[in-house]
Amino acid sequence: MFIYITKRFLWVIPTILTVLLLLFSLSYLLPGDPADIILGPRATPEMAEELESRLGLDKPWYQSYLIYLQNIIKGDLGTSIFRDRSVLKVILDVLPYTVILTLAGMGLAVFNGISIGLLAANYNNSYFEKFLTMLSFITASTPTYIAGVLLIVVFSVNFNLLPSIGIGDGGLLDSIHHLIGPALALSVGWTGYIARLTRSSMLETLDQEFIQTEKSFGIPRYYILYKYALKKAIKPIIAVIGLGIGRLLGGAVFVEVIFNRPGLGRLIVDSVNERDLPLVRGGVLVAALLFVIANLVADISYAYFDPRIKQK
Amino acid sequence: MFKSQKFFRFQKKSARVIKIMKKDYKAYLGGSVIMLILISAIFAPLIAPADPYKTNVTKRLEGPSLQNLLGTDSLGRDILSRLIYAARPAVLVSFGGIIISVIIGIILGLLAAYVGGILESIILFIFDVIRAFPPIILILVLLSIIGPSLLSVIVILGVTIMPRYGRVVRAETLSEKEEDFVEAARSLGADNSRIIFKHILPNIFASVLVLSGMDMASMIMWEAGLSFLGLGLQPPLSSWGVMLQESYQYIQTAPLMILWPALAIMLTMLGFSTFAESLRVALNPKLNQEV
Amino acid sequence: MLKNKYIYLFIITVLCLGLLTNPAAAQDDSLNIAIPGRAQTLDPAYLQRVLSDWPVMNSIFNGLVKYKPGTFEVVPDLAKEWEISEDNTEITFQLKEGIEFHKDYGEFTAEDVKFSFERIIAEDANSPEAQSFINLERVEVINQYTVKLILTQPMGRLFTSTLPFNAGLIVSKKAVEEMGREKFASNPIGTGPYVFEEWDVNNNITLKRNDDYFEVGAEYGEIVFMPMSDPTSQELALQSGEIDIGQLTLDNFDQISQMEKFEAEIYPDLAIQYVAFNTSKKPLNNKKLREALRYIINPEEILIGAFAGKAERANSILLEDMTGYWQAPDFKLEDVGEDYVWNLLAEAGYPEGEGFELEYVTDANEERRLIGALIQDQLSRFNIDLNIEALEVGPKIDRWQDGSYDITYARFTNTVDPGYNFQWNLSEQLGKWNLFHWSNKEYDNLWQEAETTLDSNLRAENYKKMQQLMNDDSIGIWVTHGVKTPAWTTEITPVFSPDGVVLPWLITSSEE
Repeated sequence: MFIYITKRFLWVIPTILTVLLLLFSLSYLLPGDPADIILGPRATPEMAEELESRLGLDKPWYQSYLIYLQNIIKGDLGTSIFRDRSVLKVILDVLPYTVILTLAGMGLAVFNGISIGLLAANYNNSYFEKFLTMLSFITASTPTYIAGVLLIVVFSVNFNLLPSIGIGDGGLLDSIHHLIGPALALSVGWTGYIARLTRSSMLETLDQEFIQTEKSFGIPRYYILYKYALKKAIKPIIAVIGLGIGRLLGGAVFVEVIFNRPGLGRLIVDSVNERDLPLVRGGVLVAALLFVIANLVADISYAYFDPRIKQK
Repeated sequence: MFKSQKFFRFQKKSARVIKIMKKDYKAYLGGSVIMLILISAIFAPLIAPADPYKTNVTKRLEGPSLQNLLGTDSLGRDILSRLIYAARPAVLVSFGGIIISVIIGIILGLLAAYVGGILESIILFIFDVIRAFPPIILILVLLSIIGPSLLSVIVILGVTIMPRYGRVVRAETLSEKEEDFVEAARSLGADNSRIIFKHILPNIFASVLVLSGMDMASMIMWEAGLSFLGLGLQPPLSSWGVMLQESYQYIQTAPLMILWPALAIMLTMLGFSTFAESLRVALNPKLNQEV
Repeated sequence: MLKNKYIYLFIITVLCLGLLTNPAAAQDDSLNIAIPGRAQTLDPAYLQRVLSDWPVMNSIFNGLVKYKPGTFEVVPDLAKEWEISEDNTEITFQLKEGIEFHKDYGEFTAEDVKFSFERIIAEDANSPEAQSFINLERVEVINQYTVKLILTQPMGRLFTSTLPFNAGLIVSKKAVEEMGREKFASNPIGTGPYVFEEWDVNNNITLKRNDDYFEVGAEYGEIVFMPMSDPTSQELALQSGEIDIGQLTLDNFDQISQMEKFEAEIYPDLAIQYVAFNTSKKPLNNKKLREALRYIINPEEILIGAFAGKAERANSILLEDMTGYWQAPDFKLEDVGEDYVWNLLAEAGYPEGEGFELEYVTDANEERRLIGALIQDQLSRFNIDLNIEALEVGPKIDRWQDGSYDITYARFTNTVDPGYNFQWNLSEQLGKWNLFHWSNKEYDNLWQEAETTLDSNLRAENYKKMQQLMNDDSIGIWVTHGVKTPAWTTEITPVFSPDGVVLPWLITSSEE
């Protein structure tokens, strides 16, 4: 197990180095003269020159790449072109919002998904079960942006119950209030997935012998369901959460844009549009790091929770 | 001798699959949605009641009427016709994207499994680098490099998803290679390409089919999401995502308008994923959990 | 066990109820104003996006002169009075006394004026405003409260657009020297009615009232500028009470402005939006063909389709009340009939309109896509294929500059001074921002002459001639100046500039 984890970690290093090289090459790949896009018609040639030297476009590429790597090792991701702040600071400022959003979305997905899945397993083979299965397919087929828009139309426009934008004034209650809509929108897709997983895993467990035995002893049904079966059936769900967090990180892009929240996803979208290269590089790098880590955790938890892989 | 036995196996298997799926309501639902989308895409000019590009600014933003069953958009174009025509890019993106990723995935996966050594490491490494990015962010950055168009969306989606197929194909090939009948075929002097086409591909067919059903749903979702962020297809081509974005600003004054493309996207995704699920149950391929 | 359950249930119910009652009641002494994008900088010498940077700067800084609120008339601000020498090259300002910079940065003096202007024209300044001060040679400090601007040549736009706009805003010399340019851009120090407080994670900018302001102070103690690029977000935020002032989309204008809680108004914008033909590339280097296109492309339909019929047609690069306004003849299809246009096409060498395809380059945003789709449909009525490419800003500018397109649609921001608007079509702008790829020596000379005179009759004359030149060559179609559509809650009474930009310090509460 330990060797497996170490191997996985070591394998990540060259991957990240290549990711860095790709991000670095962005300045040569993105179309348009950065100076023109960034400065617009008001730019003077001197401004353009200054900007090019700031972006490292005035040196040969390998030199710039080495400088870029050196700086990253020192924890310096460069300075944002527009914000006159260090990229690291800008990212660290918005990152907590994305993390909270993602965790809240995952929490909702797990809670709702397990509830639906349990109900479906409980009423297996009934029309109610078919309805719940369809419901989980429908939620799994609802992209976050559609969920977000529909939530806004219903709860913000028609009933004025939830705020449609922003993060609130900083108070705890207000922050939670502003988080409900976005977290729900983000959770919708995974709710269906977890519901299906719960159902199949529960059915598998309920089929197993010891549960059949318990039943014959006359132990109450819900007791079997929650105390014994769920405990066993929940393992594959825990294993899949790490994977889900990585996926939700991507979905957060849309939620942050629609609900006008600060966050890593919106930062990347904005900086790509504005051609704020240092910020694009930094943002995508951090997103990739988080994603790789989430996937790594997912793989390891799989190995831990899923007996089949463990045996290998 | 060998061939007929193999063929018999395949025939028997598909008969079994069809039998199981015939009893599954999900297969009917998914199948009919997919048929509906395909028919709309292929016969759009015959089905659509009006020209989807024909503007008429004197009757813009009208509600549903007999003439325009779903109403008109901000340029006075018929929404229903645009919805039907938009099945074309949806089909092109999902099928095109999946074909690209399956083909590249199979080639790279087979290469990795067969050649091994340094080439295998390089291919696996490429997969890992692509998988290091959250898909939507990778797609976003790549699109802004290449520039949005139908073709670039298809290619980028295909490449982004490709590693999944490469990995599945490689893993399956490695395990199939150990199987007796492949060994036997090899010992009978069958060359590699023959083994690949006759033995390995039919065996990974099931896994790839199920995976692609799910991925086609994701591709529809991503394409629409990109359009929603303003990185979609070029006008006048309209996709459901473009229509979604265009209707967003009318969610207060004409909330029905955004419902149609949203429903189209959800229905299509639902169709692909239920069909894939039904296939999965019937085929029961040895998919590892990591999807 | 059971007891616990009920307690949980109770807590959850209370929480839900608490969360669902909207606590977003606006604080009374605070104003939230939406801006259409993240502010880029707060240093007036480096203003980048007028719509988002300017309202903030305008609240923090003063100039020597300003536009009288609600008009474009120039009145004194930090200057008490001024004298202009006979040859129009020396202007002496008497400054108001005893005005203090924010945050104890000392008294405002002639030194600050000299510093603020000379930092813009300094060679290493790289300020985009250098052209605003194009003829400024130097600034002389006569005494603490007297300062003299020395010009090499008279400057037409000095009083109309340079001094009352961002280039003319006075920064604290001490603050810039202490902080350095970069830090100052996010920690501005001026003399204005509001003091900069914070620029936070969400890119909101908070200002606090300047209680020592030298004129009547503002009513509201705090202003927060919130960037919201999506107009739908602004509408929603306005209705939920999260912002006090925002913009409406044109299609929703009627419905939302009729709601009891809001007021809204339409203001003409200062910009010019136009269809540009690439006159240096086949097939549109053919003047007959361009003329035909002027008949085929119908701006009125664009105004309805993309502007909900709320924007006025532009017949000139200038607004109607500006010096040198000249109404270009309208090429109307219904006036001449379709046959006339078919004949024009035939004369141009394209009978039946067939045989060529035009490349149309535009932005990827929704409004521009609609305009593209409309023009495409209009051209298709004459069998002309239009190939639309909706691009992001970067690639679009690339295409603009290398001229690989036939038709494009653009919006250029203007200032109150007419000369500014004309400069993009000069020969020296070829390969830069001359979207017609059109070069005309006479046009260039007329512009140069108008730039260096204060004689407004001569300027008007020249500007008219320049517009005629553009019209004669049919280089494009003016579509509209656009509109701004501010909306606000009835709790406040805002004041706007003639082009619809809010003047935050003049906002008052509507309650008695």
